[in-house]
Amino acid sequence: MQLSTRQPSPRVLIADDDPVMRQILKSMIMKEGYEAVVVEDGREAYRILQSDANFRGGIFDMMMPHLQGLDVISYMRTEKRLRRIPVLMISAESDLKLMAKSFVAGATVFLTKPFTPEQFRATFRILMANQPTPLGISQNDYAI
Amino acid sequence: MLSDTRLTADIFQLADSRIFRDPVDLSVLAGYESIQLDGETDLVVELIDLYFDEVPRRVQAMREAMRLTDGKSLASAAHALRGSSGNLGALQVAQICTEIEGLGSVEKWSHLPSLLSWLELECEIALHIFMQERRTRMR
Repeated sequence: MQLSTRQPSPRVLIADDDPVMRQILKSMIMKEGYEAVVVEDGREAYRILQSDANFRGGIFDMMMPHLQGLDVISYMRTEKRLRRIPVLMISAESDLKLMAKSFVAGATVFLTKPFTPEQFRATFRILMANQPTPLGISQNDYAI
Repeated sequence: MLSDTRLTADIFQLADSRIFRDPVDLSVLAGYESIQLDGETDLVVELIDLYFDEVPRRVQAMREAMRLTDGKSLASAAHALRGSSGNLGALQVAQICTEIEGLGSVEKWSHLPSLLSWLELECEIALHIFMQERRTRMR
C-alpha cells in the first residue's frame, strides 16, 4: 500500500453576492491550483474568519449586502491571526478614491470589473506572491 | 445633477449607440473556456444558466424599488445586474444598468420607467442570444 504524500491545496476565501461572479472566481481559483471557499456576502466571510484563519488569500467584492468588502478587510487587519492574509478587492467602480480607500483599509491589490481571465490571473499571481516574510514584512501594494 | 434636457439628450445618445453596438459580445463568454476545469460541467453553460436566474430576479427588484420609490434599492439592484451582465459580455444591458444606477442613486424618477422598459427589452434580446449559444454548446 502506498501512502499519499499529496499536500492539500491552499485555500482562498471568496465573497461576492453575484452568483455569476462567484462561479467565475471559483473556476479561476481552482484553475490556479487553489481550493475555493465561496460565500455570498461579507457577513458570511466575517463569520468564517472568526474561527478559521487557514487561507492563503481573500477575494472580496466591494459592494455586498450586510457587510461590505471594506468592512471585512478592516476587521482582518485588526486581528493578528488574519493580518498576514493578502486580499484582492474587486469593484465595478474604477474610482481612484475607492481604490485609495481599499488600500487604506488594508487591501493588497485592486481589480476593476469586468475583467478577463488573463487580467485576473496576473492580479491573482501578484496577490499570491504577496505573502508576508518571516519578519512579518509584506511586499508593496498594487492597483491593477 | 443633470438637467432634464441634458438627461433626455443622454438617453437618446445611449439609444443611438444601440445601433452601433452588438447587444452581446460572445467573445467574452468564449474567454471563459480557458478556465474550464477538466471533468466539470461546461462553465459557459453554467454561467448562462446562472444569468437566466439572475436577470428576472434583479429586474423584479428594480420594478419593486420603483414602485416604492426606493432609490437606494433600485441603484443596488441595477449595480448587481450591471456586474453580472458586464462579466458575460451583455454590454447593452450593462450600459442601461449604469444609467439606472446613476439615476436611482440621486432619486431622479422621471426617466426611469422608460429606461426600465428598455432594459427589459435588452434583457430579452441578451437572453435570447445566450440561449442560442447554450443550445450550440449542448449539441
